[in-house]
Amino acid sequence: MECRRVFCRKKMVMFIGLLILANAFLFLKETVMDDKKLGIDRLAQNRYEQEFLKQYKGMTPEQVNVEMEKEAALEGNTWMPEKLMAFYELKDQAVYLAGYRDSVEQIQKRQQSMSSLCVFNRSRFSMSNVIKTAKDYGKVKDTVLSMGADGIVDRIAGQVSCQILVCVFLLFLVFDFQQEVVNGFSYVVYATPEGRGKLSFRRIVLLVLSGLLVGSMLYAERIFLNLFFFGGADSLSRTVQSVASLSGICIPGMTVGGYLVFYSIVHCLGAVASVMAIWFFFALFRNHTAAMLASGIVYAVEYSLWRFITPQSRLVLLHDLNLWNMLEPFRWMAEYRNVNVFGRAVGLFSMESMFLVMLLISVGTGICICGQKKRPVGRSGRLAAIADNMKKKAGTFLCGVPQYLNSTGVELYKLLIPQKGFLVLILAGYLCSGFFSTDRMIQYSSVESILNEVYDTYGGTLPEDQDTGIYEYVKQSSETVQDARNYYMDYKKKYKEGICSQEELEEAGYRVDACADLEEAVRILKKHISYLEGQKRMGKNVELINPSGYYHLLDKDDQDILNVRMLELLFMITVLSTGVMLYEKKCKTLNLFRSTEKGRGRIFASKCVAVSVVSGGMCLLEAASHFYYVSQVYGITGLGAAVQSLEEYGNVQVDVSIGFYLAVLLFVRLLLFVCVSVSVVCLSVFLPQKNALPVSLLLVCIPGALYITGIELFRTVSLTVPCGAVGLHLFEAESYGWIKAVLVMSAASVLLGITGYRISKNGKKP
Amino acid sequence: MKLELQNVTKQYGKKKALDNLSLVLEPGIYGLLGPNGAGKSTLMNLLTDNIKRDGGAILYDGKDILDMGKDFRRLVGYMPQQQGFYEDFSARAFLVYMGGLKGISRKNAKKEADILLSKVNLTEHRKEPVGSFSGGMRQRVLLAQALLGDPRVLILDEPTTGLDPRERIRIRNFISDLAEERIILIATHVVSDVEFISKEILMLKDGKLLAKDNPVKLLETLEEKVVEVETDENGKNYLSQHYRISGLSHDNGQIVVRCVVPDRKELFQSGLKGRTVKPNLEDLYLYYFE
Repeated sequence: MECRRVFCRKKMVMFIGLLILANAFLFLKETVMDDKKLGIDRLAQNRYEQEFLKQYKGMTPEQVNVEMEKEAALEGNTWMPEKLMAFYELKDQAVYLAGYRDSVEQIQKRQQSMSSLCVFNRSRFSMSNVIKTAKDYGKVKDTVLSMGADGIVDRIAGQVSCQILVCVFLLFLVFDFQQEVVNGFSYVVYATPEGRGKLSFRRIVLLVLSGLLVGSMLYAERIFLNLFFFGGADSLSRTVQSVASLSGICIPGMTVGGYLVFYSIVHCLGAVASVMAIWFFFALFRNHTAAMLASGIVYAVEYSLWRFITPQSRLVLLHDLNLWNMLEPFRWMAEYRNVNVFGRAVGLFSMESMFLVMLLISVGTGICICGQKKRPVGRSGRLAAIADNMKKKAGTFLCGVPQYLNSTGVELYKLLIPQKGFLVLILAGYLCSGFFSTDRMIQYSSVESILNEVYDTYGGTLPEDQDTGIYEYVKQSSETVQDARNYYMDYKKKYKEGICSQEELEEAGYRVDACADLEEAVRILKKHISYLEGQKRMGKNVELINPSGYYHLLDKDDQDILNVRMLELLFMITVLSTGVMLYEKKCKTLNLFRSTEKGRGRIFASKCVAVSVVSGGMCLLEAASHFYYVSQVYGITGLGAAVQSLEEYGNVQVDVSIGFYLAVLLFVRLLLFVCVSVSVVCLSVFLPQKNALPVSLLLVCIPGALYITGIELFRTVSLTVPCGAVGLHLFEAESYGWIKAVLVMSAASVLLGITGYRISKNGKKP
Repeated sequence: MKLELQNVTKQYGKKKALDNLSLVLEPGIYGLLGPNGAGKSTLMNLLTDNIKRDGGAILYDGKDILDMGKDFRRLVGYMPQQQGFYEDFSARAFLVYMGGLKGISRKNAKKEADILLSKVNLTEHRKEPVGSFSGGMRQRVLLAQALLGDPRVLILDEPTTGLDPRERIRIRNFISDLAEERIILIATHVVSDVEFISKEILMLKDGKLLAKDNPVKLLETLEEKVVEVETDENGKNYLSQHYRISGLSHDNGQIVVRCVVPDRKELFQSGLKGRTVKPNLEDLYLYYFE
């Protein structure tokens, strides 16, 4: 019955569907998009990895190691960065596999030699640790190891977003269980024969089972998507010790596939335990504010212990037996470590597993006891009084703010505070904060490094004298390359005639190899200069500037990244804007306002202005943080140069600077976001309360999401492309992308006009 | 000042919520009585221009209120039945906000808000969020906002719903003080709300106006028709089957039944004897609506 109450609702079904979509989207973002931002094409790397694995199939790791060294010497310097990365990752794997048995034998030998040392006989834990380690590794010393695609394990373990989604689902469920308290009929439920401990027990079972079911579904989806995009299904049957990151697992016979299943189950249970701990506080305190305060304090303290206590510390048990460990079980699932428990060595995994089970049992028992014994009415504790006082003071301060604001200010206040729009702003801030991360792993190839240096030195207006500046550099570089070639040809001839040795020939060959990158860089420069000269002849005031920063600023290297960012913004703006009219409907204030002189058109206009300010602000924040990121990482120069200095804008018909053109693009993007937000407000006026958000998301976000996943059909109706503004090709000859922007703006204007008219019209309530 | 309804009709599908309703309202308090579905809220919504009428006209001083638009809404103070608020606004902030919507400058809105809050005895709580108020306090805030801008027409929809007797009396007396130079229309189920303060009572049923007169004259129509009968259980059952019972009490083993009897001869023929009592509005309500 409880299961039916909770799950047989459209809201719950839609929520689970949304989680599944979000899971897929986050997987794509974290696996493919984010890495592309750093210049790594994981799909290409994966393809090269598969090729290498096919090439070395059937060989032992030792044989593979030798073969790979040969191959690297012969061809390595001509490979693409992704192929090189794939190669070195596999080489590391081969080295690890080749050395695994030795390292296990070392552990056995160490146990034998250390057993004889008198110092270790004194310390019980040290001795116990050494013996246990040797015994555990002894179980897997004869394990058959093989090479394969390890990526799936690293990707599943490295992506915490799936675990977050599971926790979100479980939290949603727990908050749903609190509805009778929130809605004020907990008294009624408590007064029934089965409304106490038994109800709590049923809910615990429901939480655990649904956590396992939905969690498994999400993890299975991740595994499936990994296999779909990256392949490697045959690698799942390898033993788990074949994967370097899982070398600490001493369970004989466990396969990689089996580990992934086990991983999913443990993670689901970990999420259940963490969320049940929060539920326990809700059951313990009648007051929700006190419950959240108490759980916040406990989790904050646990986090400090988990974050700052190291495994070497004497307080390591406080680090290991910690709620945060339950949120990220992968940290202890794969690590081999024995913990000192009263002088005895206890395996970390066993200890954590037992902690997980005991946490589930104890918290579950606590919830049932509170459900049975804790009456809905009674004296609040001290913590509840403190929490209430804090809430009251904050509430009193905030509730007086609107009287000092004008009508737009009040609408902004309503949007951000009562409607909790500040949460969306925090999310936007969080997404933008990724641009401020200092852990940048930008891989410049040799060619790119040469070009960056050339642009830094010779960037600016092209010199009139063809023997100076960049022209001189190109000429000299070409001569250097030619000299190296001639030198090699010379030595080749000498080698054939027996005048020089093979080593001398090889050395001459190395000189040619060293000039290969320079040759490629000169080729690119020549093409660039030729283009600029063509533009100069057409009267454009172009400059030699480094285009790489602009490639990344305009996401020319990958439009998908731009589309994803736009989709994120559109999603946040849609959620914010839909709530604007829904709030009035929920508060039942519409009739009252409409009876006043200015309660129709004025309120609607103020709301439109408020959402425009917020959506425009988010758009500017995203653009500014992206600009900051690109300028720091890649560098942006020559903003004052003519826009035609960039090759992809060679067809732009207006004579403006790059900076101005970018500002226009940003302005168009801002306008389009404002149009979308206002349109969503207009839609929500006409739609019923429960349909407003789903319909808005369907119209605004779903086409874009489908287009990003690769369905080209949705490009026409996707709002991500025009909102990105880059794809509009503004002011370019024979380009009609601007039509789409005009269409969006026109549609928004028409919708705004119709809605304004309907709202203001006498006697008609939309 | 005159508010006139001329053959006003409003239909929802096949059901006529208001059926050719005509009446004239002049300064004073009017009690609008009727059962659920009589059309009271529809009438309120028409007067506040929240819904469109299907026929007829509503005139204020001879001008159609639709043509007047904002000018008419400036003259109206509306207290809705549903307690719709921003829970996170303080009482004062909410009144200032409503003042802005009524076209009052912020400075004046703050002054008026403080005055009205003191009139409804909420000065102490003016800085607290409305969400923390009791039902009675919320009703007082709603009443205060209806009075912002000194409206000429006050429309109060169930102003005393959910209030205890003391609050009810307080609001009734407060409304009574406002009647000078204002048209006040009070829709209610609770006859005691309007019995003593109304200039006229409007009896509405199924969208039609059954009666409109001052309470005394309306009650005269029930003269000699309200009786109290002392009887037993069988007598009580007989009376409840044939007449409208407005009161039951037990006294020394006898049941005293107060009922509305259109024809006393019929009562005598049944063998029951009763004494005539003075009718009240509840009797009137039963007479018209049961």
